[in-house]
Amino acid sequence: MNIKDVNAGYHGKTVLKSVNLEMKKGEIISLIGPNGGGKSTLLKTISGELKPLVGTVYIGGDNLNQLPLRELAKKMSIVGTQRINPEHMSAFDIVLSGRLPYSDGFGLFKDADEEAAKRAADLMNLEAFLQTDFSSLSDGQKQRTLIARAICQEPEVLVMDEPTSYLDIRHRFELMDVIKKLADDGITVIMSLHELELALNVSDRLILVRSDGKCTAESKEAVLEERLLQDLFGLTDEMFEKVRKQFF
Amino acid sequence: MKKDNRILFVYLLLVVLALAAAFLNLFTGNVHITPREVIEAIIGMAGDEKTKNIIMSIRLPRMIMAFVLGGGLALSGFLLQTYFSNPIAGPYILGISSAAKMMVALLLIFITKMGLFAKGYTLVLAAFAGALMATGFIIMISRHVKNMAALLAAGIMIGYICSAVTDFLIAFADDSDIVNLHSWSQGSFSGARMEGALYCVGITGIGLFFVLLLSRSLDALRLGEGYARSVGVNTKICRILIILLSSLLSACVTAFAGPISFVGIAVPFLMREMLKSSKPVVLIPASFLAGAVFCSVSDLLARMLFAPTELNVSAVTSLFGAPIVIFMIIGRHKRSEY
Repeated sequence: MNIKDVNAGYHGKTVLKSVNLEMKKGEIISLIGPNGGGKSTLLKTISGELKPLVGTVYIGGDNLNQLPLRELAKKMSIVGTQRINPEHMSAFDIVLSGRLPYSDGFGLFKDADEEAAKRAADLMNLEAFLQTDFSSLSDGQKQRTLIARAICQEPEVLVMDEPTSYLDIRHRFELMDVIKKLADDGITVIMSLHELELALNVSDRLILVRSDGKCTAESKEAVLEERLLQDLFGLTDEMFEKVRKQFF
Repeated sequence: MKKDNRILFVYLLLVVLALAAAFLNLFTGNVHITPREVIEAIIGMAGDEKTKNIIMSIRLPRMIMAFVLGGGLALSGFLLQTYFSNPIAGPYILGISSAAKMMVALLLIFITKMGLFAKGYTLVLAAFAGALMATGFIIMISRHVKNMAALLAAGIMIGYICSAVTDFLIAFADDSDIVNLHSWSQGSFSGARMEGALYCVGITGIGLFFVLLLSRSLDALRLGEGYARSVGVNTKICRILIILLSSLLSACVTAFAGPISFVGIAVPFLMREMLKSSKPVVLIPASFLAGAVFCSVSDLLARMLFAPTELNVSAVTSLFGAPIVIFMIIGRHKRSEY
């Protein structure tokens, strides 16, 4: 993936300015930055939900916004933050719906699709509630189901907005393992994360989304050593020392 | 029960009920005609002219109309429920039927004033224009009002306004127009003719065909717009198609039978509960069949309950449909989904 000279925002109002980023196949990249700084805006621009105001987003050499939606769906899947409330759908049905880009015109699935859904469900450890109605699952179970749905779509790029929300500590660590496994299989993972320690632990690189609209990709070392964190979140020296102690 | 078996069972039940309703509608009436005579009349074998007339010009067109329009109404409701992601949306409650009715009343009065006769398709076009107007208005409101209850209230108000205008029109129309308008504006399949019935079959058939083609997109929309887009659905185009199809279907019903209440909400709900599924490719044909059965049986009751006095069919569909809707609201309230 490649983001070239992109300005992004809503209704002509620029939130992110002249973003240039390149992401390699199988790379894990986390977006970090202050609340309301534009992490979701950047993710929406990457996923094509938001057209860039200026510039181009490329996926595998193609302009993402000109790619037919169905083709894009085979290359990229998302986990969003919006709550959904489908009726009469089990967790498995939700996971299976990740196969819709591959289904026929009636939305009917083949055996291969069901197998892919089962694999994704296994990966996310959903067995215990796979046949339960989605609406009666806990928030954490719902989140894991939606992540399995995105995995089941077999994308080249997986875009996740706050995938760890609602997850308890065990499932957070499990998710990080799954993400590493996906990356080993060649899937590029781009996500926004609140938890710095998780971001530093799992990511190959971090994208710092600053509140003034500037985004840069940095190595973990640079983030920790060069006081970038302090600038990014506007921490006082005292606060920064506390954070530093945690990681060194 | 296993899911596939359940689906099979419900479909079998629907087919049996549909056939039973169709036969009952043909075999029962104020004039006693034996099943044998009915079949002879339909396949065109020699019989007495009067019997043939009753079957071919009265009972058969009426049966066909109740059947396909019932299906069309259920589909229209199903589409609106998907669009607004609310199970209580339907063409009647959102005022769409009433707006279509108003336009048809306008057209009928205008045309009879000019001494012309209204053709089937002009009625549908007028109703379609009215339906689109009301739907457009509701969508405009839904952009500003995110609260579903407020939106439904707005729809009900549109319904009242349009019905009031229709009543005014009827009050000022000539006596001869009123006779036609009055029974029709209450919702009724009486006076169905073969030509109209064939129009209905054509329009509803086209509607059903395109709704089925939309299955995959409707399927994806169950998870909301964001996810639908991410699995390759052009949600903008899909939404426009949903509105056009639901308007066309409810317009067709209103043009030929007047506004008929509750079928659009009650039938898709019943089917979701019976099939324990919300998958469109399963739900669409089932809702169509169930709507057809619901309307056919309602029409049968409307005709026969106090024969020879005929009830309007909307009274019967309300009587059965409204309790189902109340039941549904209570059920959802318990699951605290509202």
